Amino acid sequence: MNSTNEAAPDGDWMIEATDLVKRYGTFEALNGMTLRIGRGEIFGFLGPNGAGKTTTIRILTGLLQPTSGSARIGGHDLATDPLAARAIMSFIPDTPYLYEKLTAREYIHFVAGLYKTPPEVATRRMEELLEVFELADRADDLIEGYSHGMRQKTVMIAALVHDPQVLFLDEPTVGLDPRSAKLMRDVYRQLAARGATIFLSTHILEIAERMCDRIGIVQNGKLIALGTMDELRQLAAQNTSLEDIFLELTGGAAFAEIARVLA
Amino acid sequence: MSAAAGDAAVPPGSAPQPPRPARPAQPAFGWLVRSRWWIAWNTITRGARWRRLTYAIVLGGLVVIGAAAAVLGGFATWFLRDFTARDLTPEQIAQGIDARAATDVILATSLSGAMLLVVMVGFTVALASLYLARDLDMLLVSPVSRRAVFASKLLGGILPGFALVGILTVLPLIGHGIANDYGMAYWSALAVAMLLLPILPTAFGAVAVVLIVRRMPAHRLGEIVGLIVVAMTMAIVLLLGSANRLQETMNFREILDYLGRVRHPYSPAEWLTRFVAAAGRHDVRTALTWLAINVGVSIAALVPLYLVSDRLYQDGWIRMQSANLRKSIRRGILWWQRPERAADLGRPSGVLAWLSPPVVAVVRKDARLLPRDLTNSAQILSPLAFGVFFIVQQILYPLRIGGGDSGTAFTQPVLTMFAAFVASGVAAMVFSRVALTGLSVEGKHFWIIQSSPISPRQLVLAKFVVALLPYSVLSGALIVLFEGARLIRTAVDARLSLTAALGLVDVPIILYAWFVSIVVGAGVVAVSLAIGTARPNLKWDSPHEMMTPDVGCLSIIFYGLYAVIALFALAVPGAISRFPTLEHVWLYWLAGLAIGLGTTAAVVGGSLWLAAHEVPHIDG
Repeated sequence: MNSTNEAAPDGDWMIEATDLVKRYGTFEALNGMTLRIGRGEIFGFLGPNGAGKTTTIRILTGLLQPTSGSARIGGHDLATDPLAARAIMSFIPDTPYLYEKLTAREYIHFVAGLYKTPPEVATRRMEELLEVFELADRADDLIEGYSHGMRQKTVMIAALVHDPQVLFLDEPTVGLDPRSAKLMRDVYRQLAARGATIFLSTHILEIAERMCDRIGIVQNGKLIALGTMDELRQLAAQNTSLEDIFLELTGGAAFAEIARVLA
Repeated sequence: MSAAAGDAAVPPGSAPQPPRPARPAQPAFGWLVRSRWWIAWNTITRGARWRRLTYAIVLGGLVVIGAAAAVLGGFATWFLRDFTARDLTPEQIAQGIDARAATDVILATSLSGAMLLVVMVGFTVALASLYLARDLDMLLVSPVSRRAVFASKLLGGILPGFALVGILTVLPLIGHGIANDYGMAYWSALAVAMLLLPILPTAFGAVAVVLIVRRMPAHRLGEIVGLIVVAMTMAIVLLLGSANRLQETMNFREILDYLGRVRHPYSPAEWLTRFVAAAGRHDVRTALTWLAINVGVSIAALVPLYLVSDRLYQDGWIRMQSANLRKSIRRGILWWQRPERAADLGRPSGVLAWLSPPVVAVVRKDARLLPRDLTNSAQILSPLAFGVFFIVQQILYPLRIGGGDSGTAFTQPVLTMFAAFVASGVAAMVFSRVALTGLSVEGKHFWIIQSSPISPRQLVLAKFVVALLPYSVLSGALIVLFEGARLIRTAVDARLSLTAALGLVDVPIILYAWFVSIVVGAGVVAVSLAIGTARPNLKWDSPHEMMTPDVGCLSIIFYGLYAVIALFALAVPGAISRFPTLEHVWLYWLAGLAIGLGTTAAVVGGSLWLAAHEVPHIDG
């Protein structure tokens, strides 16, 4: 397994996780996770349910403290310099819990305030993004009346207003219609082209296959595979699609058992 | 599912299965009720240790209150019977007139009070359990009878609350039964009465909820009901506050007559009273008659409700699913809530100009959220009843020192400082809760704060400002209102002109009273914030779950202790400042300010440091 990042551009690591361990009592959710992701890279993070994807993201975004190990964002250690690390990143969770009694505009300005974005700059960027995401005419409605997709767009806009260098996305296209999902994918690509690092956790293998520069597969709290699509193909011998590779590496035999039970 | 997919689910060679019929209501009802109890049992037995400890403390408290209620009921019955027996003539005694009948008023008052409580909570509980439960969507789309869902939800929702009401009612009536030497018939009748008591109000509450939800979204109705309950609580506080005045103007027999008015012949509580009382006196025929009336009316209310619940419940649920959820913010009197002011959220300006943008963002966010959620408003408005009560008291029965000389220069500061004391108490009750739930109020949204570059110190400062700013405004307003009410009454009594009345206003003392109130408020808010941050509850669905009882009790003990010291130290010099015979007043000022401000600085500094220290340890 290639646990370092030889493909990363000029060793400019934006996300570094070193030997991360997270235990809940006797249960080990993460067991020595080591990752390095470079500037401008779109990194796909795959794994079965309960493999440790969300725990990894929560540690890297500062929502959870690791039992041991260290994490750095843009060179800033999350344990010793958390504010500098958080100032350059954004997080978009899979279930966007937002303040129901704020409007989208208020929420976005609130987040901009947290990141010390000048209100004039925030307003300009917000209005552009509201137009792009087709949310402008509902932006003064309370969020409690929004659909899941509209909430996802609101979080996305708030995450982009302060121009983050690192973006963490947990299942970013869940609940989005195909048009919005494509729009989001295009936005991620543009952000990466402009130098932003994108850490993408997803179950939709097609997205990972088409978008990501490198892919990491996690199981039982450990990184079991890491590399570009070509490198993963070599690792999994004859399999050509990411789905086949994923199933082979994460124990596809279980699926045959499920099919037998359902039959 | 497509036809192909559907076919694939059928094992090869087997005949297609007929569609499964919906479960009959009765077994489904039993199954749902049992499931509800498993959940409740697991919540208690598998919960955190401190939560189980809290349950034990609450249970212990209930036992103490119950024992006190039983003793009180017994003593009141004994006193009333003795009082009545002394008035009975030998002829009346010979005719078989029993002094125990006079004590029925205690029975009637207890049962009527319990029924009033059931009516008050019945509607809210029925609404929450019938329409706001989280598992409703899953249950109503599953192949379970809607009638069973309706009945089990109603039963699961009402039982805990009604059990509490029942315990608080039964215990005084146990004392009542013992004092009257009633036998087994009384105890049996009392048990039956407690079972019958909640049926009618619950049934009517459920009908009202089901009918109203067909016209209005349940969540909005829940918020409005919260405010109605607050209004009723305020009315009851005002009524009870006036009770002592009532006592001064009525003799005991008049009070008995007054209480006897609850015995309205059409009240179900009165029917139950007659049933239990007759059973106690072994009047079998009367007891059975009233029991039959009670049972008959309860059945007549419940059966049609059960029969139509299927359709009505379905209609209400469909209405909730298809409600227009598009909600814009209204242009109210709160100018900072307007849509065009959204950009202010991250802009330090006005009274917040000295703060950093992240702090301002959190303060302005909370200032928008708190007034918009009527459920929050309902909970923080309750203590205001005491403020309203004090203002009314000042107009009707003004505080006076030394026989109506409240206008004199040297006693006025004492009364102003007392007003500061009351204003601080009311404002502290309102905003200590805001501080106590400062972190918990973030709930599932805490990830937004936690993943952003706001430091723990900034977050704690923001939450401190969120509670202290409105505290200062409210305490100042209350002091002015209290002083104004007292001034009006003084001016009316002394027939003073407006100019003469305004001449009595001692502005420096009023400003000092406000200063004292703000200083004490800073300490109260800081202590509450520290305790709330050390024990936050981010996993709540309903706002009342934000604050657990242990946190509430701890907060009151700690901030109460601090407030007594600081208020006393700061208020005494102000109160005695105009005393003509007192020498070296500056010494009192020096000592008071040193103790008051020193204690406050230590408490605020220590509490905020503790809170900031705790924030990084909170897992969102």
